[in-house]
Amino acid sequence: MIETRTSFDRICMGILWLGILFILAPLWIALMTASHSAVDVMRSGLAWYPGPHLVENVIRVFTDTRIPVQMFNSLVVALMTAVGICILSFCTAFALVFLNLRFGWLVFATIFGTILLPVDIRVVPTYQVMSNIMEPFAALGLPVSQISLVNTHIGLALPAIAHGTGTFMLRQFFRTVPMDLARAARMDGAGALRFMWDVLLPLSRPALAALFVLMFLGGWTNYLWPLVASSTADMQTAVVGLARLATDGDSRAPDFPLMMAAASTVSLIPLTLIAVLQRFLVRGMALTEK
Amino acid sequence: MTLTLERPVAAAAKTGTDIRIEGLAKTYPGADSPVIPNLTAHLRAGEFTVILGPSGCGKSTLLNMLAGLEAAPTGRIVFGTREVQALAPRDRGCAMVFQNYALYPHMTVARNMDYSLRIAKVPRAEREARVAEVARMLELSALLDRRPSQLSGGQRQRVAIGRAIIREPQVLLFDEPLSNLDARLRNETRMELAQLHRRIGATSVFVTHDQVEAMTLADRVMILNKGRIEQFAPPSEIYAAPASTFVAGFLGSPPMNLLAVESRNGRIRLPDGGTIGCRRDGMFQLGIRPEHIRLGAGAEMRVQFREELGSHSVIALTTPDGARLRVTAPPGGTGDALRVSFPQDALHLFDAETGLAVRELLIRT
Ligand SMILES: Nc1ncnc2c1ncn2[C@@H]1O[C@H](COP(=O)(O)OP(=O)(O)O)[C@@H](O)[C@H]1O
Ligand SMILES: [Mg+2]
Repeated sequence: MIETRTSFDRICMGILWLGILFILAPLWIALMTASHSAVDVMRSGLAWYPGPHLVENVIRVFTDTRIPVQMFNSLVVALMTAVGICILSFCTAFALVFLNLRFGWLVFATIFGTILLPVDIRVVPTYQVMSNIMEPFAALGLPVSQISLVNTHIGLALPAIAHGTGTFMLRQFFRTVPMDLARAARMDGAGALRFMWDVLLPLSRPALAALFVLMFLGGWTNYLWPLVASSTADMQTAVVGLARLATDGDSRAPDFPLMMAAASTVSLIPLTLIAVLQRFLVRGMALTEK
Repeated sequence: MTLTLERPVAAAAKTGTDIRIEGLAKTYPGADSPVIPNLTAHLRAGEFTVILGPSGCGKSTLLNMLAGLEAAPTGRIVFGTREVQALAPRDRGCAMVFQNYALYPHMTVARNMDYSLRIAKVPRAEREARVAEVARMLELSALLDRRPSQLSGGQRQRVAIGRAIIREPQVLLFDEPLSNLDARLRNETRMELAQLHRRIGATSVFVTHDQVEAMTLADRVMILNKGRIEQFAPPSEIYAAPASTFVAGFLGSPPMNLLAVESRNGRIRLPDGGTIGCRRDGMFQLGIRPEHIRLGAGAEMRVQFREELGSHSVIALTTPDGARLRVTAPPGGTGDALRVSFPQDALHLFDAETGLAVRELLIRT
């Protein structure tokens, strides 16, 4: 039973507010700093109060930096990642739960391995594969030409798509779907694909929406792989571009207001997404559709 | 509720087929003993067969093999003249009603019912006509646009039945479809099912562990124990002449009394003090139904406890041998002891070793 005493309530609320402050303070500082001029910030450090230069700084982000095209890259990569993961894990989880695979547990263990070994750990081999995705076939002695996906949108998204978290999430969800539903569909004459499309997909919408949001955010905020796999500024993602803003300046002093304005702008898209889809996020996290 | 279906009787006659099950066997992968060792049976066309047995005896497995949801690697299943054991469920011409309804939660009642027709590419006009007809028959017409979550348990069950009968299947399979309903609704739905069966005429196979459902619905009851048929006979025969101690102890409320007795020099001493002739010496189980024991004469036995059920009471007695004997009596009796006697024609005899009925060994005078 959860306690309902008021003093206990107060303590909980206190902790909650502290947590919120802790999370919001950096955002607040970023936004406030973005509203001052570079000179002000140079003189008196990061700002805690609003200044008059926010619009000006945001306009500079769009005129003086590559952030806009990089945000477009991020959007493409995050969308490809999220959609790719949704499709892939829907299919794999379906096979794991509804098809009587002889070595299903082995397949599942392998997929689970990708969760234990994220791209961050295997950057080098992943880069090698991406620089010539035909290499495994070449190693088998097949006559194939070299295809490099480095510095392409697909190349940025693919390693993130080949990841087991989505499969794991949907598998857990599918296991709550009554088995008799699949049997009823078979009695009605539906094959595996029809059952997937007509019954399972509509039932999975909240779970898929939650997965989509989570994976979109993951794709948007990925840093290491996009940093490694994009060699030109026009192919970099926004997060990489933000980091470059801090270091790329030609030995001038860092332009903190510009960086903060860029960071705030870049956060806008994932924030909007969460705001719009948070209903699904919560429902999908609960993972049961009654 | 009443069922109204202006379907020509001739149409009903054409739908059922007989089902032959020959040498059917099934072992689940990884299990060391078969669920169904070897089963042969013939279900007549249009017959309502109830498969009755304790939980875990293989009823659902058998039904799923008939449906095609479970592979039948050994043996043959023949619907009419077609061998179906290798066919997919959709090609067998059978439909199934599941225990938990298994309705598609995101589809309306109408969509739930016509989903199979859509898959079979039945033209829209015919689909609509059939949905309307089945909905009228099951009193679902007003609910066609609702989702399953907006229906009561009984209504969901009717939708599940509607979904099954809309394709006019030759074989209708039910897997404990009433066990999720409350007692009153279960009685109602049971009677509706019986009427429905008579109208549709499909050969029906109904799995249950509830003996009341079996006795009231069945043309014939197949009693299953560990995947073996103990008895396959009309309910009256199962009650009057159980083929084994398993059947005797499974049916009846309370079930038949079974007492260990010995036959010596051609006579069995009965617990009520009398004797009865027996054509063979040895150990037997003597059976007598609680409602057939006569009160007021014979041996006196001590009362262990009484259960008052309103219409009658069930009294547990201790026989002189120390065994328990249940009798039914008019309600409201008192006293520490009762005189009981066993009418000869109510006695059943079972072999102590095999448990099979050996009624013919008794010499009734
Ligand atoms: N898919 C399965 N895999 C392995 N064993 C099963 C499977 N389904 C049922 N069983 C086992 O087979 C036996 C019979 O099951 P079932 O046919 O469902 O019994 P019933 O319907 O009579 O309760 C049970 O012991 C059950 O544990
Ligand atoms: Mg069962």
